[in-house]
Amino acid sequence: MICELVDVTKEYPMGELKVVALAGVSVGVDAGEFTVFAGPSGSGKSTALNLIGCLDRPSSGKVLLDGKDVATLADEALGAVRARRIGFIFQSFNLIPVLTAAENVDLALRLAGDTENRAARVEKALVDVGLQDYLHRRPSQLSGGQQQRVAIARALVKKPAIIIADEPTANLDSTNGEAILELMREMNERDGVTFLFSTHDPMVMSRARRVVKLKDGHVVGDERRA
Amino acid sequence: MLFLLSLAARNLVRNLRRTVLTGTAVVAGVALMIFGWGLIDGLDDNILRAARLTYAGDLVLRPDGYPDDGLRFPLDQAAAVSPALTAKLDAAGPWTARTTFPARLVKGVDAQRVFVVAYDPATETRVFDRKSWRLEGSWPAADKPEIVAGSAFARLMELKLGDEVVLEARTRDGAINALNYTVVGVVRTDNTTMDNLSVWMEAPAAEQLAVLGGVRTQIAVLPTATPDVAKATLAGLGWTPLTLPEECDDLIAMNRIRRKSISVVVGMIMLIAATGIANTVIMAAFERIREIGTLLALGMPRRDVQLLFLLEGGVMGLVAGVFGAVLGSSLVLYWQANGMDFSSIVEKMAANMSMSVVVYTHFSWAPTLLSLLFGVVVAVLASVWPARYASRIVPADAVRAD
Repeated sequence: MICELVDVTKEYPMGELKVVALAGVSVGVDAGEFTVFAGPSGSGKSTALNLIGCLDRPSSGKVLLDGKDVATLADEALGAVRARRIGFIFQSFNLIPVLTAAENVDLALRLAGDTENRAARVEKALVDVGLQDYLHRRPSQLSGGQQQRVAIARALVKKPAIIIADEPTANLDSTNGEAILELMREMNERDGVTFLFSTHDPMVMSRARRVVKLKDGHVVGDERRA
Repeated sequence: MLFLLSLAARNLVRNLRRTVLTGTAVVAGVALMIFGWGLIDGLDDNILRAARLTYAGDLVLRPDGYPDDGLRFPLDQAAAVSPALTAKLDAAGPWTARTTFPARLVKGVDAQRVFVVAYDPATETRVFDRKSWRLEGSWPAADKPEIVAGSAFARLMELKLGDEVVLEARTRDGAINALNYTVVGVVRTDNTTMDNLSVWMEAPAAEQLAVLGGVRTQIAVLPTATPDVAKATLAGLGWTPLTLPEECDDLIAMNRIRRKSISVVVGMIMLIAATGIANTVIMAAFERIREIGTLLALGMPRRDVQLLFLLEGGVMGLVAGVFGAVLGSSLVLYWQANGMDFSSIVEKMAANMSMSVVVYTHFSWAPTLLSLLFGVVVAVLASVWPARYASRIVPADAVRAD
């Protein structure tokens, strides 16, 4: 198992109250999965993704990545784990606007401390997502779909253990959304890249091979498809 | 580090108008600092130059106990130049002695207090070459009752060449004497005191007017050795030697006050600049929360995020500082070459200051680089709090920020 939440609870203070985002959730993701955390707003899917992505720490429980509990790591160490082991694709693409497509992809390698043959790997990653003609364009010169492809290339280039995609099609029209999803599915099947999504889009859920349903901070379903 | 520097520079260009507006205050502060210090240094030079070229040489001697607090020039405290001192002066280098004493110049019904500068025609030009002075007319002829008037004084009294005037003065014994003189010249030395308040005559003519008995009030020397060495050899002979900086210490002290005033103004401008920079950097942090979150999510260490914002402030400070330094230095260098003519102001308002009406600013690298460094340091310090704010952003929330 690549990553696993073990009896994880996450609470957020809200004034004098505490909001429970996850309540004793246990769920794991194996290598090569194409899994969706699905559920309505407030179900806890983004919180679960944040914890697996080492962007946040649980209030209690364990977050295992490659069998190691990362919840207890210091801030800098957690950052290093994110840099080397986890790729992110965000709903709003989250590219750095002053960097070109190639520089955005290169940034991931740079922060991972991965210096080997960077330029060639960056180019290959962008070619793989069909952006060979857009290497030196800035995000503002790219369409939404193209920006998300750059984000996918950025996530893929460092060959992470898992790619976490937070509602990756939410800001795209249906044609671009489907194309992006198809691209990720192809990479999953061809290269065995592990993807973990959050979504409430039925189209995304229909493409997943595993759908973990969350509601009010609890896992209420775990469906695997052939 | 180079990558962060490049990113910082690109981020500054993103909102160029805001960056330029913020940087303008740094440009103004650094330029004013360099120009202000260049001007004060120039005023220091100017005071020393005016003294050197018009009354002090490189070393000035006055009788022991002779007052140096204002324009009194009492004859009863003047002294003769002894043979022993003469010998030492001859050995020290070119020298000349003058007697300055108060008088009253009367022209028709007008009268005005004035100082007579009585010089020794045989030795005067060995110390004061008069090349920078502008003389209309001629210097007094030997053994004739002729005077040259300071240019501003001549203007005040409406003196023209050939005018007949009366000079009234107390003799060394206290008697009042008055003699007729012809104005044969009008001189502008650029020493405001002398141009405003003096008339010049040869020592023999002054002897007749004030019955000096050979006493002198000052000796100016151009020592062949350094002024400090000459000062040591000429001390203890009834006259007190002073080097130029010692002679002009009161005026230079006034310049120190001016320097502090300029520093206060610069400090206020830089405080405004610092506020602007802090505002710009914090605005950048607020506007780029999602971007900061992304960098943190991608694994950028928090210290690098902090460094990125410090670099943004620092680069802005450096670029604006360089512009300010170029602007300030250009002004200083221009007026160093051409001089700033304050004649209309100084001649009216600074009659008791021994300074030239043309001020040459003084360029030097130390204050230029110091001002530039000051601009950068202020900019970096102003960015500390915004940078700390940016580095403490929680990535989980920030990556989804609007």
